[in-house]
Amino acid sequence: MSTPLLEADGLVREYGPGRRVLHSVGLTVAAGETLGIIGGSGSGKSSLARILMGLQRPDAGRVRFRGIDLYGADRAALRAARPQLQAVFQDPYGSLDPRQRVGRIVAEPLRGQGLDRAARDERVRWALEAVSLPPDAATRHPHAFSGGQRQRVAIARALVGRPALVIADEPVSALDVSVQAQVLNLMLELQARLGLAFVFISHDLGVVRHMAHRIAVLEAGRIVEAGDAAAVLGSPRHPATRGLLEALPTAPSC
Amino acid sequence: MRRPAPPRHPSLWAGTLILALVLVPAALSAVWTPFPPGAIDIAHRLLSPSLRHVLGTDPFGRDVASRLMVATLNSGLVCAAAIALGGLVGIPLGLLGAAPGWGGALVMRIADLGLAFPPLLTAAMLVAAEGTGIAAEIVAIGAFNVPAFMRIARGGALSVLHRDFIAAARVAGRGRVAILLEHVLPNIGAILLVQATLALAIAALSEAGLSYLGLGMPPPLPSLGRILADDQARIFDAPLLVIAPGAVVALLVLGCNLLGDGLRDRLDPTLAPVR
Repeated sequence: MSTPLLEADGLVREYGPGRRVLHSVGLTVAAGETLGIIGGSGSGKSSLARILMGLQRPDAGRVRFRGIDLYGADRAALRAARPQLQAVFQDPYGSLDPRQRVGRIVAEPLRGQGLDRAARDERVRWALEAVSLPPDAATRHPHAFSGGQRQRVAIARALVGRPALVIADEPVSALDVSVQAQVLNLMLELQARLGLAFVFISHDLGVVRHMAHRIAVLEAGRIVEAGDAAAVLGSPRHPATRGLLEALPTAPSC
Repeated sequence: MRRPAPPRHPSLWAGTLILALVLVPAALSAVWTPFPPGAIDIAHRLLSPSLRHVLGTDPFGRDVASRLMVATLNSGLVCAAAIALGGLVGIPLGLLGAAPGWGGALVMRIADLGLAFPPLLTAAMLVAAEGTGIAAEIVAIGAFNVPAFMRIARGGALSVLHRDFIAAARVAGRGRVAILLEHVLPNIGAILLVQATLALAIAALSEAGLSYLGLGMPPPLPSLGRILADDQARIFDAPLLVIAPGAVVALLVLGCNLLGDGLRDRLDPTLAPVR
């Protein structure tokens, strides 16, 4: 494998002495693949997500995106690479500014990229179309949309700068089950079309299984098992993984 | 989320109505008053209210209603300018105070120091230091509004800053200033508007107080406080001369407070009293 798209090693995060939520976590993501990170509540998923998104400096360790340290000194290189690394958050009610119209929300990653207004509008139209929202969605405010539609808006915002990697932190857990499948399939379709890589973080093994090529199991701030999705789920070695598998509801066969 | 039926806001309407009652005639005075407010007519001094002079005349035969209209406008403009000044200085400082680390904390401790001084005393002290005049009065009243705006802006900013759309803006590569201007400020606009309205009530009271003490608007300009001061000796033979300007101040304060409360209930349903 050539240099991975995202490379994290030795990530440590602690909230005060003795309250360490991540213990030396390392992972890699290659272009075009989905790494599923699965863990129960309190496993450190959200802290890891924020560090990978470049929002929270880790207490130790490094995250490199395309070889550029996300928390390093080279600000110019980071600014240039930043549009390639995007994020989708859990709560589509909190992740869209209620005071802005959807067109402006989606265009946000394009601001300061030296694009003129017409070019930006064109990209926004493309992104809204990619997530199957009507073009006139741009003129409305987020409150006019349902949870699933809002998450599509959030995905359109992540896509608009043509990213290589999207970090999705529990992107469907706030949605109705029927809407979850739509959003997940949309993400798979976008991956196939645009060659995106995902880091897909979730507590729901069923969802991760649907999405991920590789899986890392996070337990109490450590990655206890990682590997090919089929291998990890087919013959889980760690008790935490087995626990998560057993917690899956089994559909009655008919 | 849609509310099933919009809640009613009686104080919003009551406040608007009371303020309109006082401010519409005041605004009108810019183009028309029943009599020239400064016209002295000794022959008709201390008249009782009549159809010609709705609120009677003062010891110089000037029409009380006309003078009150102009005085209310003068006081209102001074208060509005003072609030604008307080907001323009206080809001950016408050946003600065929301910054993490010791810088923000230092800014807010200075604001606490400012809040420790009683408003009217602060204003009187500043006027004493700067000398009287309209500009000095605006600065004096504006000054004690600065810390209040700082606290409101900082509190609002802190609650907005931890929301996910701020994280999304950071992921989108936006800088701090852009985030403050485009995300934080619009989202705290409502509470700042409420604060401005409530501050207007205190400003009206302070303006009247300063003018009453002779520290406010300079003499030829009628102001509510000075009309009160000039005519207070007449409270027994011509009580309306004192009651009328006092009532205007009271209505201004009441109207602003009701409007502020109503706006807050309307704009932030979580703060509305439980009914």
